Amino acid sequence: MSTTKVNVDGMLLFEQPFARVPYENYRKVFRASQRNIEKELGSVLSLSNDLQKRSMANEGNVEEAVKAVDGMIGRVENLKRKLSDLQENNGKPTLDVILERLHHLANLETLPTTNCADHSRWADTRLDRWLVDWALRGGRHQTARTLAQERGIETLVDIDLFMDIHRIESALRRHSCAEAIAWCSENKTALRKIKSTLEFELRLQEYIELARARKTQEAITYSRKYLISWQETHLSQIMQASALLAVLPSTNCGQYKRLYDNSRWISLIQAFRLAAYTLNSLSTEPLLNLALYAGLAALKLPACYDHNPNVNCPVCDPNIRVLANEVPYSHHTNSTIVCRLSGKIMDEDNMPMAFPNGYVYSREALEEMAAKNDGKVTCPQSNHTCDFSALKKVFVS
Amino acid sequence: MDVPVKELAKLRAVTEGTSKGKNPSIEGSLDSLLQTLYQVKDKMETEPVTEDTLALIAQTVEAKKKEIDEKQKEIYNAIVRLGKTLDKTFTQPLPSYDPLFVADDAKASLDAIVAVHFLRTGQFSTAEMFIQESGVTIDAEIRSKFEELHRILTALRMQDIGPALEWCSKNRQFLQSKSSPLEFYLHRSQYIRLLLACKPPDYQPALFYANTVLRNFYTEHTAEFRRLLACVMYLPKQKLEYSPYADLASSTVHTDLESLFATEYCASLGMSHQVPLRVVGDIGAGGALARIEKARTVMKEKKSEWSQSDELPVRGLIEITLAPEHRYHSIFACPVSKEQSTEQNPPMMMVCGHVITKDSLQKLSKNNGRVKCPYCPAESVQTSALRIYF
Repeated sequence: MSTTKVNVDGMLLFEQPFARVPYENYRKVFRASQRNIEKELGSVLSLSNDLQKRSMANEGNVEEAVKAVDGMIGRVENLKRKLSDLQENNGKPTLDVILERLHHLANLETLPTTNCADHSRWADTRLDRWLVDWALRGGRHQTARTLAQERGIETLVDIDLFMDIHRIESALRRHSCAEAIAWCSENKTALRKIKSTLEFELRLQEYIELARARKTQEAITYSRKYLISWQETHLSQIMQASALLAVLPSTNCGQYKRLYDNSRWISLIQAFRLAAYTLNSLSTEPLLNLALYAGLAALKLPACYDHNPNVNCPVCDPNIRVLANEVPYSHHTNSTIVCRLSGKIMDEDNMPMAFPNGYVYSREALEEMAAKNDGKVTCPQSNHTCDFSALKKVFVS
Repeated sequence: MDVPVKELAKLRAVTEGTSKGKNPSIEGSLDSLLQTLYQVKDKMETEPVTEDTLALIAQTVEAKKKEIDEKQKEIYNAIVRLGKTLDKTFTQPLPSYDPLFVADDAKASLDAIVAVHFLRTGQFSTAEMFIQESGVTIDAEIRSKFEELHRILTALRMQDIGPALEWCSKNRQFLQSKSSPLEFYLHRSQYIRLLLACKPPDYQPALFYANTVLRNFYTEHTAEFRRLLACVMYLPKQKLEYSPYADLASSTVHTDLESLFATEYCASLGMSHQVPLRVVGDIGAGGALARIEKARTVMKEKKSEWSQSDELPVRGLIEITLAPEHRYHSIFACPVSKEQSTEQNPPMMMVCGHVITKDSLQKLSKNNGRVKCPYCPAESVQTSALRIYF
């Protein structure tokens, strides 16, 4: 095995989502606590101001005052409870996850070479993480859970996050926009930052469904309530949609037929998925795919498509070869000659030697063969036999 | 990772109120607000409500709200700082690619690869679940083969070489064709265990074992056989560890058996000795993707065309160097043209032994059909160049 140094930067390229997902989650928890504080303390403040105003106008009495103070106490205790809840069940565990993941990455930095057992273990865990991520994205949730449990990596993967995304996607598949719209309102600021029009698309689709059911009055009210706010940027689309009230779902007229088409739901699901992944710092493609693409591109050679597969070469495996079709061939400017008999690299210490018919193998492997066969060597590919002494040295620079 | 970890610790201290910040914890502020409110309520039930009391309430509420807002600000700043350290650690974002492996055949192949991976690594319950959820079909033959492999490996781990030996005797021909030392090493491990368990000077059990079993391997492994018998002189174990036979005392004699057995077993099934997903994944994430991304950004700057599926751009920008253990096929790059050889442009050896591609040979040939080797003074006749098969 080689003693290649660990390429930490190259490996960290894959780990940004790993660290950022719990971090973004913590920010979400903070925002929730901020909302609670503003709501409850806002109430308390207005109760107190009210009380003062009324007493100044000599309107209040003792009973009302006590009730007001009781109300304030209630609010404050409520807030205390909610904040403690958030901290215990969301805040603290998330910080723990961040720490655990940072430590896991720190282990990477201490690995000396790619050769050691520790690296092998780290790489095994990484492959497990990729498989969980890949399975979750592909809807194979049970597999993901089983794998995460068996390998003890539940804190290193984001099962809950993906399950939540899946929940909303399932609702969209059932033609329900409510869940996705709720998600949009929870993430308003972030969506605005990436200039997402997802909320508009969802509202538009609900409008279309009202039009499809011919609930024209409801549709008009809906449009006034939810679509008008987007008129600065989406006026033409809103106007086109308003015409739907006069057009039946069975229409053959191009642009309206497209609006009524159910394939719009599929694009909605894709748009939601993309927004959800972006907001949560998740990569758009499964990490497994990215790693496979790059790895295959480094390995793929025309020789892998030959009729002599090398059993050890991953690309020669029939299933992997199918994946490799989408990947470019690897590029090399230097020669590396591998002996088909021993699998070893041929160099000045182990020179390549050629049979008279052009087949080449390593000196060591041929010497071993000659020693067992009275000085004769046979080419395993062409079956040509000759004396070891008849072989010629080959010079490959 | 030191910097993010430190910032995280600071954030934790701020949120748990253990830091030496200038503001009390939020819980503290709320508690003191509650205290005031309760006091006022009690007062109200005995004395008339004065304007001062109401003013006190208003003041306390405002003051505590301010305290809490300040504390939230502190926490927010700590969060932002943590985020900045993460930005500094992960300088490159993950590249976005068009959807990969989405064609039906690619999807099916990837499912099969993952299923076999689970079986091969002994994760049988996960494999079951996956096969169910994905609907992929795996040959029952392969499944039982891997179950057998894991059964034998578990036995080896428990120091029981019995099942392994059984497999060896069934597959003796295959092992012999590979000149594999597996069977001998299995017995060697057993012999050494017996030897080290013996109470000197009674080495009967071990020697008996050597006589009956190891003797059969004398011809193939003469030198090692002699060593095994000679090391008896250096017992007990502590002395052995400092002798010329120290390697026989180390645990690797036993632990290496697992990977050796797995290698031979998989080879007998026509499978690679390394787990393919690990190999490809390690290469991909070990620097290959980073290399490709570097080249992509350079090309974007130069505004050249990039296509995901054409050959990786030339000019040495994306040559991903593979470690020796990942070299499975010969790669011949012509020293003259720097091009890789193909079926149409194969490597050709001149009489001096130097090799260049056919095209280069053509270009260097003079009208009389003679070629001067670019590396040595020798001259060859173009037609006498030998086509090389690596």
